[in-house]
Amino acid sequence: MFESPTIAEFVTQSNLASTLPGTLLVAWTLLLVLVDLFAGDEREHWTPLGACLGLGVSFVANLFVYAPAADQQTALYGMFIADAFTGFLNIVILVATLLAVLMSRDYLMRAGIHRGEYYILTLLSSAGAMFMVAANDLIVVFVALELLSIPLYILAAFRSIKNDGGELALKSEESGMKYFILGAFSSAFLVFGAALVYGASGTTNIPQILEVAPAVVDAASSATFYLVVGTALLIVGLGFKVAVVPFHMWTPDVYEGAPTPVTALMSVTAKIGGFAALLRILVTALSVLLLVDGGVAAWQTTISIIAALTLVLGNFVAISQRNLKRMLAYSSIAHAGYIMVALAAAGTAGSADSATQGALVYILAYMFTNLGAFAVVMTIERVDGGGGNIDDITGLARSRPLLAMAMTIFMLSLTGIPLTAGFVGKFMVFAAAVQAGLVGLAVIGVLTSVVSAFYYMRVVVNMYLRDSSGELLPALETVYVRWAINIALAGTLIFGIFYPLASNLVSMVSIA
Amino acid sequence: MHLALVTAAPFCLALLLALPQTRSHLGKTTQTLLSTALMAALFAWLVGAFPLLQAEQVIVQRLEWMPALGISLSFYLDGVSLLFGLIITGIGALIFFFAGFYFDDAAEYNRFMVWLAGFAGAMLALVLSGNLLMLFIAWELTSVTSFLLIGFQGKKQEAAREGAFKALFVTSGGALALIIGLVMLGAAAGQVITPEANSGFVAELDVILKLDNLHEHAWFPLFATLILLGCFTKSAQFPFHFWLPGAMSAPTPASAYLHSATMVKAGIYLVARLSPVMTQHELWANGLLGVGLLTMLVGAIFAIKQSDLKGLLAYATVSKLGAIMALLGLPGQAGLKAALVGIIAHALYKSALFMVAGTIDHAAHTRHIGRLGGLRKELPGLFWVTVISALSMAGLPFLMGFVAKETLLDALLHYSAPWTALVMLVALVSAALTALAAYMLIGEVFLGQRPRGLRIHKPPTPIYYGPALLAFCSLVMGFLLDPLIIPLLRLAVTKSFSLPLFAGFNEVFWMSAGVLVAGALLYLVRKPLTARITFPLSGDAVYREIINYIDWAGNALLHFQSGYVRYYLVWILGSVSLMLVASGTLSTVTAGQTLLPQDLSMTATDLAKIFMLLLTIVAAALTVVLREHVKAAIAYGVIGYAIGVIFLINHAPDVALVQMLVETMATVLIIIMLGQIRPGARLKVIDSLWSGRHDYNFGFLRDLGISIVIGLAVFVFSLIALQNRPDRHSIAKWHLENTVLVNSEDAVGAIVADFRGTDTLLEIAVFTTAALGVLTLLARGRVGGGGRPAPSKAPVESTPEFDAEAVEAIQDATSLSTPFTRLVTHFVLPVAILIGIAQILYGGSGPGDGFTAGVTIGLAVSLWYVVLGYDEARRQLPWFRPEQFVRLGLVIGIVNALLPLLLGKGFMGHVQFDKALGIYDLVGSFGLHITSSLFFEIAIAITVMGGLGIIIEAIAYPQSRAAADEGLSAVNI
Repeated sequence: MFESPTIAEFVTQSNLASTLPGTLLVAWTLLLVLVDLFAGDEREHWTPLGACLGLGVSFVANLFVYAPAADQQTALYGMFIADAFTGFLNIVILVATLLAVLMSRDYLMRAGIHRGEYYILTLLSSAGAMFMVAANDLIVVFVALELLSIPLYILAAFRSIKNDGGELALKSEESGMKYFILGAFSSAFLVFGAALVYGASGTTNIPQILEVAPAVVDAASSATFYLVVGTALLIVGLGFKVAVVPFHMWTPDVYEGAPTPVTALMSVTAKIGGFAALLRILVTALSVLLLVDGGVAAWQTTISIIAALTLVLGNFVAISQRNLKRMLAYSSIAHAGYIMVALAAAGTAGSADSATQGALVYILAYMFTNLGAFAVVMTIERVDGGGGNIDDITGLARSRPLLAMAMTIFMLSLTGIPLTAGFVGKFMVFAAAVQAGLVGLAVIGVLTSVVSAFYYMRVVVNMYLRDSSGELLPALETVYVRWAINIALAGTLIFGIFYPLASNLVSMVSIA
Repeated sequence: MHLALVTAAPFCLALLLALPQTRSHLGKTTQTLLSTALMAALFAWLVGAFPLLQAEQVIVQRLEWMPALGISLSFYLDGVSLLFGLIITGIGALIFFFAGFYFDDAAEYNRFMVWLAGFAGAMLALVLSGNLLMLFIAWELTSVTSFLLIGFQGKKQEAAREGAFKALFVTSGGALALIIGLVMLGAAAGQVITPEANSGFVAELDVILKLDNLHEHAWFPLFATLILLGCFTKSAQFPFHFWLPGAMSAPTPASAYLHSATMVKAGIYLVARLSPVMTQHELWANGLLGVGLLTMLVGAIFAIKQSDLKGLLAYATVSKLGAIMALLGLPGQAGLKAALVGIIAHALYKSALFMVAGTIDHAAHTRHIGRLGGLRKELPGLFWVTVISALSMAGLPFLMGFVAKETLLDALLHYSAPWTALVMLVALVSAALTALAAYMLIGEVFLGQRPRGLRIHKPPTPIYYGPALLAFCSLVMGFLLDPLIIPLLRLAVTKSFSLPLFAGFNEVFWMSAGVLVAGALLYLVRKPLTARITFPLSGDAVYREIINYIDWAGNALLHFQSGYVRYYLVWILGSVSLMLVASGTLSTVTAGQTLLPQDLSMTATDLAKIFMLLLTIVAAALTVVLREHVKAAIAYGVIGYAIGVIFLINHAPDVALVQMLVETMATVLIIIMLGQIRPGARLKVIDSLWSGRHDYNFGFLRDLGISIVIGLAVFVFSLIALQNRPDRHSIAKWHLENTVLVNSEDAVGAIVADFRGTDTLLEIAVFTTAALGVLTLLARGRVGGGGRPAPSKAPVESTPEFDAEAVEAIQDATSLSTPFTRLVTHFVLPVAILIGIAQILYGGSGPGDGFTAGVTIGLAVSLWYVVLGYDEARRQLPWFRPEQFVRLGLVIGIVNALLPLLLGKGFMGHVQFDKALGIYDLVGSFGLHITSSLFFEIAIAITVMGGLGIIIEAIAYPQSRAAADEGLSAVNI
């Protein structure tokens, strides 16, 4: 007779305990649905509070599961992996989500949208990101990616605000639709790629792919072809999620139209998920097997080209932007380029670990800085999307000195100036690239950083060196956004000044 | 005292000054005295370290900070750092004192001093750092504080903003080159120390400076160039010099301190610091010499053209910095002595002259040379300070500047290379022009007639103290070479040397004298001379061009960002094709593989399949070509049906049924949606697609080309994939053999409801989520108010607030409503429900299952919405409540999944209820089996029906009404 295992058997066999950070978050979120249902008019207070608590619970669970001494362990029959990589990125995701929830609390209040599903979708998306960084199987990569993306499609279309003329601004809907259509399109690439890799190797499990791949490559048969094409399609599918050129087209449109906290969230968590999967697939599963002469992975050239294109395009186009949100959108493309540099560096035998660690520190720095910058933008932006232009920030140093100081630090960090977290990230990435022999790519990275100084410093110049003609800017934001800014600022400075911290945190990470 | 404390002291001062309490409790004078005293104390401490250094040569102190990354707080003090440290603290003390009287406004002074003290700390950290990365951090901090100081008056002056930005852009750009250079240097050092192992990154200066074969490393040319780039930009070398004159918008104390005495010498410091291990390579030496000499000449030429007092001083500084760079490039440290003497002399006279310029600015409210003159009578003290300092700059015997010039010429003269003559010529011409600039400072500003309208208000006396002290130093330092300067130099210069004040009437002396005379002669013809000079190459113009190009490139790249998803798709598909081609595997793999099937014989069913495929192609073509959207949509539906028939031919009736139902559903939904678009708008779109477009041919051909390329790529790819399939075990057989275990005769049904039951359960949850997503996207305004909108009670025609077009649109959507269609609609629904029930009950033994049942009923309901319109359908089908169906379905599904747990089976375990109740034979005689699978199918059917209902309602809701709803809800917001 065909029998399923009992729950108890299932829990032990599948080692569910090590999936707790993610599964607890999902479970908490489902409870939150009920809380939201019964909270009624009070939901605008209770749901965000519940969301924050859920993040805290997941955070604590994460600390237990990924205690530094703990070995890596797999769960769900090898489909899920809990190692230092997962633990570190889980923390980054949880902090990012917390900041986004704080920002959302303010945004929804000002926009008059008191809908609980907003927070529920946010948490679900973050849970998707957490499953993605723990994915040890192409199937899980795909399922987690969808869990990550689908709530974001909906969130992107969440803003129903009228503009000054009383007309309904359709930007948010357009943003959600575009994100959805192109996202579905890219998912197809991902699935197709996974199918081909499966066809070639006979497995979707990442460590198992690593085992069988050398034989597949040696055979030089059609299976080799599937493996290479499958890898290329996986890069395309995930490249879309992390928004690297030429798969970045959706980014500015979507970022501009989506509610600002959602933009901030997806500029961080979606990228983390995508990069984690890319790292796991390329570095863990496909590094050794595609090593060509000189100990360099076959995909390194492709990734290098993508990285270079991304750096150049992202940084140059950001210059032309007058809208701060759009500028940050393009600059987020550029930052994906810097992480891609680390990924390319991981393709050289022997530097996979240092490159991966560099990428993680960069992600950490980028998370604090970028969310902080978006939070500052929120304070000057009106909910209809107006007021977020670079000229609107003029004279901020006089009207809001502390806010201007925070923004300056975020801008310096995004440029990569020392004593900010951004410098530590850039330094580790470039050092890894140099170590991996990708000096040319590192130089491109540096030159484009100079270009980026051009538009980041313009913000600082406008705040400090220009006087606003009119009255002082009113304080639009609430205490929640201020908390978000404070946390982001603290992270940016702490990891910038005490830089041993970041590198110690990731020193255990090894996925090669 | 630890060097860390020395470095930290100015930062603490900056923090102290930044406190609000300081601002309110301490007066300007107190703050001035405090700051000056601190810098003087640091100066005294450094002087006190002198004997210790004489004993030990180098002091290294270390605080472990970040061993993993090669970063520790390490400090390195030797002769060179001591010299720079003395200048930073000594000149710093004088400038801090001067600034107290330069600013009239106390608040402004305080703000300025915070940044200036911060800068002093950063600069001290830079020269005392024993670690490359800490040095770099300090380097960037000086750039940032410099940016803030240059832009100090930015709120009033556009020039200050521009100058600040320019300085930051150039120096930060150079700094980024520098960091890559330093990283490579550190990596190279690691490889030199342990060639076999990849020992990582070495950043400690004391380790690096002991490596004598670093220049043999393969990376040397690259990192040397990058480091030089960083140093050249920081020290304002040609062609990056232009930021320094731009930086003159800074308040004068900052100019005197940063842009003359200290920060611009950071590049020189780093070059001097690294030269011992770098200068063996020609690239390093010749690069320094070439760029230095060029800068020296260009700076001197520009200096005499300036009309701004500070501009003149800035270009003179550029020239002097070039001279020092060139000296450092001389082989084997031959120029180090001259360079260090030059640094001392320059710091003394140039800071004094900057403070003079600041005092004049303060007293006369202008720095324009043409508007000044005859100040000797008004400001006699200042006059004498200027005379001494300017003559030191010109190199008059026996001032300190004279010593510097003598050693400079001497060092260059002993440089034996084919181009020594050219080097000397450049040096002499520059020296003569510098002398001319010095004379102009005295002559144009202090002598001659005082121009009319020039008012002088006497500055406070203490403002003279600093410049006077420096001038005094310039005057007497030459006579104190033995006790003061030479011991200091002995710490830095390893070779034995002599430094006499007067070396006799040798060739160098005559050259030096000739330069002074030539300068004097040039002074007589200065006006025609300066008018003649034009310089074709301007770094500033290049900078502007670069900035313009960056802007242009940004805008040009922006054109790809059209906002149209279809172009994005083209880009993505194009890139994917490129990637596949570039991967180069296509040809290698196809080479040994079969592209076409070997066996081409056909059976009758094959012919039927070919016919269906042709039908698919024709239908696809029609979808594109047909002018009316409704017909196109139906043609689109035919594609799906044809594929469904292929499934049927391949013995997969379940799959075929699902395919056809879904296709029908999709077509119906498309048609409902098209009904929502106003006919006018629809025609406009079609016309613009098919005719009346100017670029009709181009656009059409382009799209056709893209489609063909992508189609071909997919075709070839699929063909290869199909023909070269690896052999794998199929799990189909297992399913067929084990279907009987779950009392089913239909393998598809068994897979959906049992073998992969959990998947299906999640699948319907996903389906529900998708439906909710559609609701969010399409029904935004209505949901905001909470729940489903009620059907409109009033006849549509009589509501006056709708415009005529909207009414027409609504009528159009319901134009299918004829007595006949109404009859059919009413008739279809019960039949559909019966079919659905049959599919559920007999899903285990025949085609169809819960999903198809849900779709069938949903289709029948959608017919109501199409034919009768939203309002009437809602009124006539009050029992059809999609949200409740979804809930009900999900609850049944979950309960059904959990129930087996109570019966001691697994989650979603298979339960035969009929057997348990003893009615197995009874229901079996009807061909039924009451199992958990059956209930699961019911759950699926209800959920799917509800989800479809949500989607249909969202789509069928009249657009004009939706707009009106949003208008109302806006009032609530």
